[in-house]
Amino acid sequence: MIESLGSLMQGLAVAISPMNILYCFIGCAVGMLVGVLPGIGPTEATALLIPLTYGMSPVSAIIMLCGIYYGGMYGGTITSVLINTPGEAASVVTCLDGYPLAKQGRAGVALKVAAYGSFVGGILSIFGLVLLAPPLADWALKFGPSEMFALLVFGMCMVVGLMGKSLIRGLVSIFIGLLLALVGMDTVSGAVRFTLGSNQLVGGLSIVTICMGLFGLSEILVGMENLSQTNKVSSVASSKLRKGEWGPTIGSIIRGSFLGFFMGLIPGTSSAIPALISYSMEKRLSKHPEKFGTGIPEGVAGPETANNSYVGGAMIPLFTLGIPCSPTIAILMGAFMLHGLTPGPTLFIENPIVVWGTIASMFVGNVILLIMNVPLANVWAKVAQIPNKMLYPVVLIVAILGAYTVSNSMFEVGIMLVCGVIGYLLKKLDIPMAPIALVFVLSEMMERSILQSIKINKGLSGLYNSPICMTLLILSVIILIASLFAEYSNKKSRFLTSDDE
Amino acid sequence: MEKQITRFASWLKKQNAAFFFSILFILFSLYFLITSFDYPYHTKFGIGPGFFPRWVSILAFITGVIYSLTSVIREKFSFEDAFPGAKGIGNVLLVVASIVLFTVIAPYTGFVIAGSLMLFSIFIKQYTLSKSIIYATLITVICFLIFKKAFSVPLPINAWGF
Repeated sequence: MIESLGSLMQGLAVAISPMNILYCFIGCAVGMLVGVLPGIGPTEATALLIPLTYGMSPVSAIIMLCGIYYGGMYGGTITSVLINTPGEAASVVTCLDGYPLAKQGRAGVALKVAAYGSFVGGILSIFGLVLLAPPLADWALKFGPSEMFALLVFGMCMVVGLMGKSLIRGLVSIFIGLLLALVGMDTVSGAVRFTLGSNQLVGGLSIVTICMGLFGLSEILVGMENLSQTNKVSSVASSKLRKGEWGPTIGSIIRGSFLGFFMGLIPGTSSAIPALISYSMEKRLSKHPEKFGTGIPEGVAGPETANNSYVGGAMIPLFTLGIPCSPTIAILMGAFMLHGLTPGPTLFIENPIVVWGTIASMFVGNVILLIMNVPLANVWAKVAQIPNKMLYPVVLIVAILGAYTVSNSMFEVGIMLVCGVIGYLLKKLDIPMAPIALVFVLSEMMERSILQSIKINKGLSGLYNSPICMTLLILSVIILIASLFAEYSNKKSRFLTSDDE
Repeated sequence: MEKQITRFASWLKKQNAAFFFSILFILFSLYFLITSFDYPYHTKFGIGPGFFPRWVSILAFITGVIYSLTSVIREKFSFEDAFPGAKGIGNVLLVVASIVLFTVIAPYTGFVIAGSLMLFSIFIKQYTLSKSIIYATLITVICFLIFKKAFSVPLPINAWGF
């Protein structure tokens, strides 16, 4: 504990260097921007900015990219409250009470409550990250290849179990990711596989290009179907919380913080899920559940806090196990790898500066976002008024540039186009895309761990002789069966289908 | 000819898009399965590079078959329900075609001309001719300056340096 706080202080020294504060600010500003703009989310923005970080130090690059992630969570709130249009999936629930508050002339209350809740949730979850990550990483160091393989299978089952309405469609998505990851040089044997004779595919497909196509370009294609959308903005009238509103609001912020943090630990969830659960939990705990949906501050505070505290929780599996919980985290993992870092338990030992610098920067980022949020809400709302017919072409050319910069080649633009068309088809057929990104980055680790396990144990005995493996594999089966059962009982919420953050 | 196209379009609208996609997915996994036999399953050092792809593609193939069955039985998505009308699809195809155009001509014309043409082809349906030209050129030039000058990205350029 004291050791962790000491490391955090060292990280803080890195995070508050002028350059890193600047990068953190850029990341937060971009995050806010993409959170505000309905056509683009943190996933696409993170993928887009990765190529621009090649020249940066690893810690600065990761600080900036993380800023986009949690900045996006703050930004989505503003459009939910002011124009009843969530900038990203996690803010869908905020519309339910945020917009009615705005219509009552209390938009300022909704934004303030959301901003303070987001701040508290963000800070508490970072403390959770500081306290939980090091011991978990120590424990994960004891994992052998068999345990790692079982953990990856478990993660994939969680992803397929929680995302999408249909198990079979989730599995289709998983296998698209696994098959795409096979392209290129096998890191275990060095064999070049499935390249269709193309030298440009020897290095494999890039997670950045794939995500840019699947999430970015497909969103542009869907958006281009209907370009006539216009948004009407409510003004941010300054107002304060009324007497009697403080207590329930503070309570919902505290509950939302814990809920979001623990939901973040579960692979396959998205920030929309804790927001939704928080809203229904607050409604159930409230003395006036009938007022929910008519514009009450705790209806905004709980979900907004939960989706921000989710971010800190979601970083734990990445830092300690090398497992991404969401598409944006998968791209962040790609960024780690591009900068020569391997996310996982050894990261704390080999690159403590990067880990603790990044964690500390999240404190700085939350403060920056708090400053940028409420006072500048009207400015961000104006940004959200950019018409789609202008927005999508601009995002398109930036996405093309982002794909091009991956290897400075038009080949990547072509790959992005193919992935974009695939993503468009998947969206239309309601096949979740997030598993593709998550599985794509895990596939190499999965192959390596199963090969090593077979080699060490001269067969698959490593999987059923280890209690950890058996537990994880049994849990995986239970998750799949439960998911199948839930599917047939039609009990899944539509919010669980989201591919967005 | 026009009659046949109309008849084909109305036939396609009623078809099950999920089933068509499942067939594509099966073919995709079959390619990986067949090609996986090109790589050794065992080597003298142990398991070979064909092991993982073979099992993954077998499982993918099985998943594809199950998906095709469920798409017929309970997960039907007709093209009509899943995809937008002719105007929407036209806009989508326009974007795809403009990216193809950009990818093909950019190495010869340079980024600014290719990018401007790409954006112009999208803007022209939404704005007047003069506005389309101005917006397309302005956005492309700004992007060029940011990426080329500020981030030193080696964008494709023509003989005049843009």
